[in-house]
Amino acid sequence: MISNEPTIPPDGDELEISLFGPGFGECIVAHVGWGDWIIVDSCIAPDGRTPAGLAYLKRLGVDASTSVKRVVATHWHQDHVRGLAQTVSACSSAKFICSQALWSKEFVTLTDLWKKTGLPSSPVNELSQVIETLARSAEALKGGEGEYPFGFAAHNQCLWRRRAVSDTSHDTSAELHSLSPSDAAIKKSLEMIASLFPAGEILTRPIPQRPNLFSVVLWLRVGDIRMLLGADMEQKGNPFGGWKLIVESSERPDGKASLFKIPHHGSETGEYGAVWTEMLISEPVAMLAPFNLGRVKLPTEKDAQRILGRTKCSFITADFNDRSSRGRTGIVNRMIHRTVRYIKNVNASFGQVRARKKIIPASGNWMVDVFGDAKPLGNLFAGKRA
Amino acid sequence: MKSGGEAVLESSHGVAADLSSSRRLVRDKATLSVDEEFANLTGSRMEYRGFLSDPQALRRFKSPEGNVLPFCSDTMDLKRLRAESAEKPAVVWVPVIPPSLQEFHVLQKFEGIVRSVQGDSFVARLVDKTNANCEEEAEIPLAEVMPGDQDLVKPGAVFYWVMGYRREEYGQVYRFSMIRFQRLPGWSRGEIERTKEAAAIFLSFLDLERANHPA
Repeated sequence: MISNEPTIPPDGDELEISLFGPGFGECIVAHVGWGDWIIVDSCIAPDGRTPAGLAYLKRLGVDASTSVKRVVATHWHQDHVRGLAQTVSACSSAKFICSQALWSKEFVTLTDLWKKTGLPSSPVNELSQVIETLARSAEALKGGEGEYPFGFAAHNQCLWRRRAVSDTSHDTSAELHSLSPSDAAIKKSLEMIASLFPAGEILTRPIPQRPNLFSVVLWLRVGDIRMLLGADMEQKGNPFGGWKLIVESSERPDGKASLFKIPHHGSETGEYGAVWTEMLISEPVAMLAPFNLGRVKLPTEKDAQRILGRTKCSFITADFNDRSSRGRTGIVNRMIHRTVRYIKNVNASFGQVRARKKIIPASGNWMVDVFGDAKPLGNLFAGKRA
Repeated sequence: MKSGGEAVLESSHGVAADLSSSRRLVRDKATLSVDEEFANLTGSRMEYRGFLSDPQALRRFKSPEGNVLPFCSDTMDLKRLRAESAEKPAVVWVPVIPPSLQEFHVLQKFEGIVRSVQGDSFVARLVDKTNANCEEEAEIPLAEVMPGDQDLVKPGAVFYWVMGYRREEYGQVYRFSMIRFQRLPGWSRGEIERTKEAAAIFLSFLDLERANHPA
């Protein structure tokens, strides 16, 4: 567990965006005021079992089964869905939001075929459990008037809305919009899913190719405060428009966001200049989670400098400290190290970037705190430069 | 040949087949005809059970040194053996792999999933199957993978990595580290089509139109 983990929940009229991230994975937990919570994606806490979002709500004493209104899966990369089935199950009154492609005949076929193989966990297994849980809820609701247990994200789709709270004269209404994926992207993703089960080949785990292109980008407004949550949306090499389509859309919600979850771990492929000028205020709060797999480490030092050039108020949830594995006997460790080029713990580094701001009045600044291994982005490569 | 409902295998030349070792056996006394031999069989295969409870059989199936040999096979294709015995020498040799005298002492087991292949190595996510350690990631040279498995090394492939000590028949002890990739047959077209139909039925029970209005 992180050493200085927060345990005090936000006030009722206080907005909070918390980003959790080990070296591999990310999860956003948002308090949108008056006890309403939203969870976006899922990663695993340092204990290796509990979803980070659920663990945080439990520490704050929040009842996930009644307080969470929406659970959103932006896309089905392993670093965004680990622990998602447990999260959906625990947030029993929340509506689950994802791309329509995940409720297609192709994807359900894929999950069923993979379930029969009994192979180890994969994004498909995780989403298969989610589908089963939600199908049971939908069956129980059949014919009833209650809220349907799942919904589809699409280009400029309203996913959740709360009317103004009556006991105040300020605007306390809230809305969550999805700005993607586009219809063309959904269609392409169905073709990609169907290609994952060719007949007659030796099976490997289905790892989708570039699902970032079909990511669900979110726009959250609470009163006058706006936030842009960029998922893993990429611009470079995206044939479906990517950020350009989002920025140029005339139907997207108006206003500029004061907080930005940087897309795709700060990579250059996720950068699109017009996002900063058209959708964000000057010097917004920016937060990101790193990606540390093999030789791929994001953000690079160049990426960090580029982001810091946009806003000095940038934070990252973890560093790249590669801690070697320990805890085995000397002979086993020696045998392992004779075989591998390196071995490291995956979740050795883990932290939380928390931004809070009063909804009433909305004119104040964001208060940003970092916990665990989280730090200002400017410090990420400071040791290297020194 | 039968004895109290139990059958004992022997060739038509009167020499018994040793089914538990490759040592030659010699039949000691009377020989029965092939017809008698098959008298109690109902098909081309016969079952051998309770051989050691038949004292007559025990007497007949002794090694040249006089040792009674254990019998371990359940079923034998008697017709095939009979046909072979007409062409080959009287003694039928049934190859039996002797039990291995190697001992393995496993110290560590991993289950791995290939995440990416980079030049002469691959990066894998490792789950410790020996201890409940944290999930780990390792870069492993392709040279550590058996040649027959190297085509299987691609993203998503599942493998098992075992390491420990191997004690040989004569007492030598070696360290071993072995990576084996899992091979699973692909789905047939029929299986995919059936699953697609089932998926379509499953989805027809859901009200997907309501999911189009999530707010």
